[in-house]
Amino acid sequence: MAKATTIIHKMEKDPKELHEQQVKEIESLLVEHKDSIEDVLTIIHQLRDREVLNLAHGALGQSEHVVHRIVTAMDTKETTQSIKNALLIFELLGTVNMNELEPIVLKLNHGIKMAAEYDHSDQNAGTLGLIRSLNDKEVIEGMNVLMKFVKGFGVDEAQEEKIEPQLERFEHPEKEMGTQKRESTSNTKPTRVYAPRLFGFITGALVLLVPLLIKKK
Amino acid sequence: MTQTMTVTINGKREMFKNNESVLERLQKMDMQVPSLCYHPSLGAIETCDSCIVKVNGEFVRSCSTKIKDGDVVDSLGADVHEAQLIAMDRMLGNHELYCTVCDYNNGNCEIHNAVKEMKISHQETPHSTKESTVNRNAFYRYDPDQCILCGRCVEACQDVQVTETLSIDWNLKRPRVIWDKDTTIDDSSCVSCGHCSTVCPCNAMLEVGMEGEAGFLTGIKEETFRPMVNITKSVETGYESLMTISDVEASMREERIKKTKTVCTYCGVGCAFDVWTKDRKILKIQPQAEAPANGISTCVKGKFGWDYVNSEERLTKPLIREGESFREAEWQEALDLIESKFKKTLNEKGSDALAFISSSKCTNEESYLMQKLARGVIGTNNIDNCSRYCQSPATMGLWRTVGYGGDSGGIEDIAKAELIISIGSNTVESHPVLSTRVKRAQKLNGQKVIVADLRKHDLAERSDLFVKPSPGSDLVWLSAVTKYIVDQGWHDVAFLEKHVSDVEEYLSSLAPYTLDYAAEVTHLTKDELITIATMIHEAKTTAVLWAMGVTQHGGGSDTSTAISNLLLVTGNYMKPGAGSYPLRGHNNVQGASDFGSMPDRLPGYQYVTDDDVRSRFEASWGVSLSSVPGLNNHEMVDSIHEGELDVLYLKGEDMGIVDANINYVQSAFEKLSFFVVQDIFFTKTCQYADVVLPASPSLEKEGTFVNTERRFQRLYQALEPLGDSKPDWQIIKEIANRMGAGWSYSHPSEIMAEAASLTPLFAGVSYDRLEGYDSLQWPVKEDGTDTPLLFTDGFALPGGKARLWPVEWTKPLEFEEEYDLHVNNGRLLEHFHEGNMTYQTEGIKKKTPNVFLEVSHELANERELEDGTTVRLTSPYGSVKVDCIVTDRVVGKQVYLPMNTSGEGAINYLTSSHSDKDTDTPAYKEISAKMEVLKQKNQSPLPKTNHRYGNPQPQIGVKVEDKWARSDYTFPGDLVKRRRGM
Repeated sequence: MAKATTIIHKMEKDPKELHEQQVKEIESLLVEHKDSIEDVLTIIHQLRDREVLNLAHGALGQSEHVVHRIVTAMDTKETTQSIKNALLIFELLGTVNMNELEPIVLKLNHGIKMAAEYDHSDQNAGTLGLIRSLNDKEVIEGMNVLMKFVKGFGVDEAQEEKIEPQLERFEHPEKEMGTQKRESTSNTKPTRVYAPRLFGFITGALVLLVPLLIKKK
Repeated sequence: MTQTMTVTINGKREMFKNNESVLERLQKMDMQVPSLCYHPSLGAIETCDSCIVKVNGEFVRSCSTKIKDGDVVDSLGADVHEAQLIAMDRMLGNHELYCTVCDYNNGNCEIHNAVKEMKISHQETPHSTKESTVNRNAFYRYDPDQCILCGRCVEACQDVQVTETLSIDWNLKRPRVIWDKDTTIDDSSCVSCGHCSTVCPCNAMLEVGMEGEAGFLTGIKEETFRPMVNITKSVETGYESLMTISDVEASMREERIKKTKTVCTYCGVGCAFDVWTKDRKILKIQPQAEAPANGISTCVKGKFGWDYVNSEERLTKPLIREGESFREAEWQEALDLIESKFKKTLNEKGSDALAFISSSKCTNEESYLMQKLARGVIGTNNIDNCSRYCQSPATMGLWRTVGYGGDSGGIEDIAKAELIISIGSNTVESHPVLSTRVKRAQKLNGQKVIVADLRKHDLAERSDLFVKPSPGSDLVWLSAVTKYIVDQGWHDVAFLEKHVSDVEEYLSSLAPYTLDYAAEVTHLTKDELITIATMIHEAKTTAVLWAMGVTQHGGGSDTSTAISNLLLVTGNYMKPGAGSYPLRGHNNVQGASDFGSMPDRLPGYQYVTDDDVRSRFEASWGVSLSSVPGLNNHEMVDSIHEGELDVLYLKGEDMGIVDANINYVQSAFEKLSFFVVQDIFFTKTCQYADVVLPASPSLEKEGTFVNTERRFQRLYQALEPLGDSKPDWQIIKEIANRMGAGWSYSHPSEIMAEAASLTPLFAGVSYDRLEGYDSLQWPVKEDGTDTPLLFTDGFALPGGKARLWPVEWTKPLEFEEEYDLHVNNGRLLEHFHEGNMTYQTEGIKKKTPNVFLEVSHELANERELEDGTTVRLTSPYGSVKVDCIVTDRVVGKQVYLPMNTSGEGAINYLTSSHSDKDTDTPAYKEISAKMEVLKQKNQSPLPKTNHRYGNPQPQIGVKVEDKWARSDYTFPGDLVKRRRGM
């Protein structure tokens, strides 16, 4: 006659026996992974020497506070602007063609060198000297390079820009209108597309005007 | 439509036959078109506009535009792209892209993927809040600020699940999803089926189990989360970099989130889905459209009821009785004890002094091994399973008339039927996903539904005709309707001549079932009977669904036979959308019998008395088998009382609470000389055991189940067995080997291979053919050809002909006058049986913490009952104590007692040992009791947060027309035309 019962005596495992069993399990794990464990211990030793472990201990122990503090500190315009700029510079670097840039940089260096060597007390350099220098082969070459640069400057690259994040646009919704062109392949003509061209045109005109201004004097 | 169409798509001429939408065609051609509101299982919703293309020069939504012959489709033009971008931009104004810290970033976020595929770098419409709080319950939550208003959740709730809770209020300044008339989830009619979170394309509707768990960075606190998102937004230089980082993070998640296909264990529908686990934590259930029985559908139990797997109450060690208590033991000791007791009984009293009971919750392979242990190792046919408590009468009715004891078709056929007759089946609560197919077909496709039941359950409320026959009288009205049909000449003469035998004899047996007689016995009016007959006559296809309200009666087999007779007479077999559907209750109640856990039949329903069959099994097993049928469950209990049966080994069945007349059953257990119970929890039955063995549930093992459609499906192991628990097949194997069997199975697939080799019914079933979501419906030929529609060429009876089987009505039990209340009983949607699994889910327990007794308003008035009144019901066999709920679901002196308790409200303290005369299935539904009020006022047993108090808001779909009518809405195609001066 087995009467219904709900009494269950749990198996009390001898703590000593349990401990021994667990030690044995760990021991066999150690043996099995001996080489890896030696490597790991070396790294841990070095981390300890350099206080990294203590740092990590503190950071992990207070991780929620630490993360919150860092995140709220980062959530400022200056910090996010820095990160954004860093990311943009990184992306911009990818757009630079170093082969094409190299001769320009060399020319720039040369120009800088000559500028540095220029002696302000040199009386030979006057307005006429400048006009004369328009016949100089090197000056003509420099002007041509500058003209190409100015032309390239006037090309519309709005499609390629990546510098207006979502939050910024949200805070300045008026700018949203200006970004319409960027997202669609529409043939509509938002006004802003002319802005870079206009800027290029003005810059180019100014460069051309330089000799004329000098001439007037 | 099968006419060949010639269509120009992006300049290329294509020819095809299918009548499909432009979007479907483009997707088949691997042409990327964004489609955020479109879901293949839901169809066109038309809310998101992102799938715009041009057809014949006009902008259209490709999801809802059917391709026509001669159409010219453009999905690549600049103007099309512009329109799609406008639509996408509107979506992004509603959804904040913080993918890396989003729990939904698992590679399947459709917004993320669309942004990536369309190479969207920025958005014009800034994201802004909808200024409404997050709505949540214990299972899922809705974040309006992430919701793109695609309406998939609404479509799924309104037209797939058809609970009709969700809608989008398009009249709000900022529209959002609302529950009922804009209340909280808990206060609404939501049944937490999970469809909404399953179909949501993003993280707006998310399972609570995923929150803070899925991602590496998603567990951060809210006060840190917001600045983190702000930083991300401030520094991002375009969405490409965000997408890359979140894609990397999503890939990392794959390493620690395991997705395993499994099959649900809560009912016979056989829902299959992926379970997402992280270590032992269950993050969510993710249904897949390819799942053959359920597609994207689940119920609350299947979607959210898995906490029991990690319950601290799980059995993790064998228990051995010592006097009036148990002690935990090691397997070795428990198996030693079982071996010695089994051998002792075998030696002293012979093999028939032992008996075995299989579980309808365990796998086919486990059922097979249990019967093999009984027959091949112990030498007895004393083996049964719990279909004895439910569907054996249905099987009997079908064996008699059509030869196979299974559903005539699949769930698709139920959805296809022009007319559904549901008899004694609370399918909305007992087979929730199957019922959604009926509700949907009725709501959208004009299917007609007749419900015959005592109680106004959900389907009754929705039905086109609801009749309430007096308890236990179904056979009479079924036969009267059949007779009326024959009398009108509406029977299918050609079908009867060609496919059915014994017609004349049967038709003459109908003589007593006149409309007058039926009206007198059943209390249905003659008009109601004629209406039923007329509806059957007018429908091209009729399918009958039935369950325990039919079978659990003294004449359960005969009533099941009468159903099949009616279907034969009207020619409603051998065609899609028609036939008989005895809805199986447990996940593998079909398979448990299919695999031979029956006292008279070996696997595949092969008789133990058949010498040829036995010799085939004997040759394979290397033993000689008994040709004497054994005891069924019911007879086992009697046999114990009679001192014939000494040892019982029972697995996965709480027989001590689910069998009828449990006082009698429990006292039998006390008389056993040795009782082994194998389960995952310490159940009521375990309390009587000598040895309790800890088993592993479905998520911890491999195997197969057969659902109500006769469909084999595989389940894969998601978790390691908890503690020292083991899969049942391994335990049975160890016990068999202790008895000298020498079994060497190392995987359930080997067991299936052996069973299939011995069983013509499923000769072609193998694990290879059931990979992933593949399935097979028996009979399965050796070459793997299966049988979705059961009867196509003929019937599984001699000559291939069905047989009409005359039946007579068995009057239900009659009680003394003092037992004046009829006690109906059955399942609840949110609990599985007595609830030892579902009460482990806090969310379910909170909403439905107790059993309750439904009483009618009339009875409440008469006895001064109200919600919470505690009463005692007493039948001649025992009594229960339970709190009342007053409802119009029941009428007059009929009360309803659900079975969701193993405590003092357990229904089987009232039931008797009276049973179906042909199968011994207990007549659970034939109980009367008297009522005594114990405490007039008490707290209601059903919290007001229960969905039954909700206020559903039926509508068709998401009402997208209301969105289009808003003053701030312009169709993106029109906008593009305006911009371009088109």
